[in-house]
Amino acid sequence: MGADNGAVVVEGVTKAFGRSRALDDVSLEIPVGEIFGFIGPNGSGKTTLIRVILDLLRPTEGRISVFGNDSRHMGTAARQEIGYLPGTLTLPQRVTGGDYLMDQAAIRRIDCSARIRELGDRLHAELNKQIGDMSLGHRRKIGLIAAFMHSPRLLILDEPTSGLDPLVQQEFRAMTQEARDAGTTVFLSSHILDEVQHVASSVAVVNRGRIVTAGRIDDLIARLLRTLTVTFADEVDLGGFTGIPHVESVGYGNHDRRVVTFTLRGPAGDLLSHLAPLKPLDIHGREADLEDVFLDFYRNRDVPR
Amino acid sequence: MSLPIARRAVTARVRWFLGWSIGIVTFVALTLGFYPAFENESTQMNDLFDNLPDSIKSLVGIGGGIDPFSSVGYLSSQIYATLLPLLLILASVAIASSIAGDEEHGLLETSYSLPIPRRRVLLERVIAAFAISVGLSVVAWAATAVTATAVGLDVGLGAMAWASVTLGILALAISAITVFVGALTGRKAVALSVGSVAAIGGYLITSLADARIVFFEKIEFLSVFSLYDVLNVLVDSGPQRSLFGLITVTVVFSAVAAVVIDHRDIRSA
Repeated sequence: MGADNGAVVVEGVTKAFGRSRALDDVSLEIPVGEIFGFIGPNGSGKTTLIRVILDLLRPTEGRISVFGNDSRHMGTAARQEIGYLPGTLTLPQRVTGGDYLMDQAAIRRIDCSARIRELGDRLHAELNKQIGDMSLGHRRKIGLIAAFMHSPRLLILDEPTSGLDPLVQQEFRAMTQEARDAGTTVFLSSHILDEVQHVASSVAVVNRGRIVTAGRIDDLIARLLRTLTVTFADEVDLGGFTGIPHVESVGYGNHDRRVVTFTLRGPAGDLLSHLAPLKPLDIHGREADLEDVFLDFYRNRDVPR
Repeated sequence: MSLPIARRAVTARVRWFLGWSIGIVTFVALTLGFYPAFENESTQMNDLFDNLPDSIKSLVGIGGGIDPFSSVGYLSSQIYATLLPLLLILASVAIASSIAGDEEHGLLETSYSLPIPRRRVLLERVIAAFAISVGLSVVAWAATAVTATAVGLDVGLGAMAWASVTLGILALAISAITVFVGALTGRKAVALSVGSVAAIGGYLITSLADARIVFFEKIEFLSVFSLYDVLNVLVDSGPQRSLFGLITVTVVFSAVAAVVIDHRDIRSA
């Protein structure tokens, strides 16, 4: 894994707090210009990894590079390229959203006023209202604008749609995809799998500080254990379905001996060839999604918990 | 040089500053307002105080061979040795510890991820805390000067100005200690505790050392109040050499705070 290949390259990172390991030998590469999903249950280490990438936490072992710069010695120029939305966003209370964003722009030494107005309009943000008087969702909008307003090369978004209504979530997805199209790399941490599947092309699944799988979402889904339910005109004997390649289990569905449920991992061709002479009445298979990948790794694999 | 973090930290405290200013003005006016009553009874009052042990006299700010009911003695004992240090240091320690408090609450999470060094974020917050403390010192000086003149205290405005400067820098020194502990631990409660101990403990140690109690004389070097020589500032109408000691404490602890913040994990909400 070369430090120059990815926008973010994580190499063997361990972060210990006392005797507990929040991250355990994590290695990961986030390709430039991609939306990369980072999923896992609460407390799995997602936010810890983000905070190590941003040098808010120092790794116990390992190293991270961001666009080729060691995160421990990231200069201000490298940080200028990053937009960050924390999962737990705490903002000052007695300042308007607009003034807060202008302060952030002043620190970045960039005139973001036009972009702030544009993003404010898109997200229906309350820029003239004191942050202390805003709802949680409106505060998140201010945080999103702060992350996007300077058109960074790397967006790190921790639970970005938490507290947002569905319309704003949709707008957020559009903003993320536009940023990706403009060449921005997006690191999207979430436990809302649907959100990640909508926008991300690759994903890493984390549990208890370890990456349990990573890759392109389509490939992960293709490798997934799927269920196929077949209905026959007459009752069938399950013994006739043994030894079919890629079929992992067979059973009757709903206690009806005319309905057979197959679970298979891999291509379905052999199973369909076997079924064709039996002239089934109906074949029903649900399309797998990221949630199935996630649940498969948490329920059926030897994943440390 | 634009200091957006410092500017915002100051503007966020405007109401707080006004509240403390009203408190300081009120306490100073009430305390000095009693001076004419004591002035006329100074002989009896001195007789009363003469019977008190030195340690008690020292704890209430009386000592140094000055008549506590003279103009300088009253201003020193009632205002600059007790009341104003209490109020100003309380306010300064509260503000200084709020830097660690903001870190604990996650308010600095985004600031520390911005394209500026951590020490710049911290130092801008320190500048804001110091500016507020200095502002309160100016309010204290103005309240003291106006009320002292009104009640006929025979102390020059320059002497009161230097006393207020010395007091302000004492508050900054204790603020800097508080900031340092906050930067080291990221814990508001720890910073507040150590800052308070530095203030109250220092006051007690120096007062008891002034009363010639040997143990406290030996450990007086630990007390930042040993550098707060306000009585002589009022007597001489000018700064004392110990002022440089207070400035050194302020600068050293602030600088070390800026170094240590760069070497630890930032806390999150």
